[in-house]
Amino acid sequence: MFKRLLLTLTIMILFAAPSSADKPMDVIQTAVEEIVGLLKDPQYDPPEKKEEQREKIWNVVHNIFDFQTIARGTIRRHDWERFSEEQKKEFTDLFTTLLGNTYLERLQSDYRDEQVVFMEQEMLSNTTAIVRTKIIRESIETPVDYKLILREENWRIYNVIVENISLVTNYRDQFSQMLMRDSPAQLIDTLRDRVNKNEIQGV
Amino acid sequence: MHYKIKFPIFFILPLIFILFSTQNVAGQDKYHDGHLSNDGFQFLRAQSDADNDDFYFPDELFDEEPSYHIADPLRPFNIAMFHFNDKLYFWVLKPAAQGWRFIVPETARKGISNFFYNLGFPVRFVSSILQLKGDKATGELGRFFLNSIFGVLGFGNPAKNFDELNPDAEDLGQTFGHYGVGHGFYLVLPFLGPSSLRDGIGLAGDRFLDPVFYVDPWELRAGVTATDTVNKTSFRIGDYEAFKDAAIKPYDAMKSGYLQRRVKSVNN
Repeated sequence: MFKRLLLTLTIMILFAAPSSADKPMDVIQTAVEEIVGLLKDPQYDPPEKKEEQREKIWNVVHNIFDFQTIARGTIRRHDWERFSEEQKKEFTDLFTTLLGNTYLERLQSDYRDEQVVFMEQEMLSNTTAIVRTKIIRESIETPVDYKLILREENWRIYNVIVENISLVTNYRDQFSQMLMRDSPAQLIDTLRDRVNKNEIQGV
Repeated sequence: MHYKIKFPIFFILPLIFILFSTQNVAGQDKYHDGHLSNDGFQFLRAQSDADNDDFYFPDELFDEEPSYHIADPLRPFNIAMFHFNDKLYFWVLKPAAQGWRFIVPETARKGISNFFYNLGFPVRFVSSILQLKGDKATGELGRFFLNSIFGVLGFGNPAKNFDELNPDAEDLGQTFGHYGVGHGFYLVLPFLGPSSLRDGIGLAGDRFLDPVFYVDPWELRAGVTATDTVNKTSFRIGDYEAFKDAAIKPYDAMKSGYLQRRVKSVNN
């Protein structure tokens, strides 16, 4: 009896295992190709077209990054419990905007025909995977690893590790230092100031 | 950058003892708040997450990217040094590297960078030996001979396509770490950047194995070191800017990055 239950459960688990059509590496590869295409497209060369280009890139980025998980990972659990429900949402939104602004701006101003080499992908569990890539610029190779989680049948990036430095850990260490003295509200204010400052400075 | 450091052994031994005894404090401190994950607690956590609009956030998701703790008793000094290095980069190093990049073709810069990497062979080789990492030591040795002879004094890099001839670089700080020595405390060094008591001592030791250290007179030695630094930076212009731009608290961001990277280097 017990054995049969176990068997049924096992079968259920096996079949419930996600069967997503896209593999993690395909997801990233497609997105990178799309973004590089947008960056190289001469139609976006005039300065007044930069905003439009940024929006198009953002659409691609927003689809493959799991910003909610990224934001949650940057706050330690005992700190997270100090946030009100409203603050949690506000923090997540602001942090997402800040990441988007910072990195998209960098991408638009600094992209110089870097080459992205897709090395390998590895399943870490049923719902998580890592994709290893290399960015090559002027013969310098920079290892960039993406960690992905399966969310509603879609692979989404929840951490980026550049030259052994995890993006989420890096922000977590900054935020935990801030939250030793500041309240969640103050942290949110700091983020809001940064977001506004970036917008004033323009694209 | 031409100071001489002498380390009498009776000074080092007590230090090593202190480092060993503090390694638990300054070692890995996972960010899961030190909670034991017994089942009852797991249940409570799962429930509290369920309250938050059903957002599934498995606790083990970032287990491989934990936060590391390091004591920072010299924080005011370190912050001052951080600012010093920051200004040094923007006012001196960056303009110099930009000029260098403009004048010297990429191939030549790459050659110079190969040459200096090849010159650092003794540090990596000895550290690999001290850690009894035979494969790495052999790889370093093979790379050194191949590049010195067929790469013309190391300017070329014929070894580049052989994985086994390109082991991750070892140094004395990593060697201490390999044998369980903790960081002690965080230290930002002028010119050299983020370090720790352990890695700072390692760096001082590494200098004795660095051929550049024996260049005489000191003016020439300084010139050689400057060339190496400027040349290296010429490949990395914009990296520091990007880092600083993305950081909310650059000082803590750099500390975090340094710790993460060192943990990885010690572990492989």
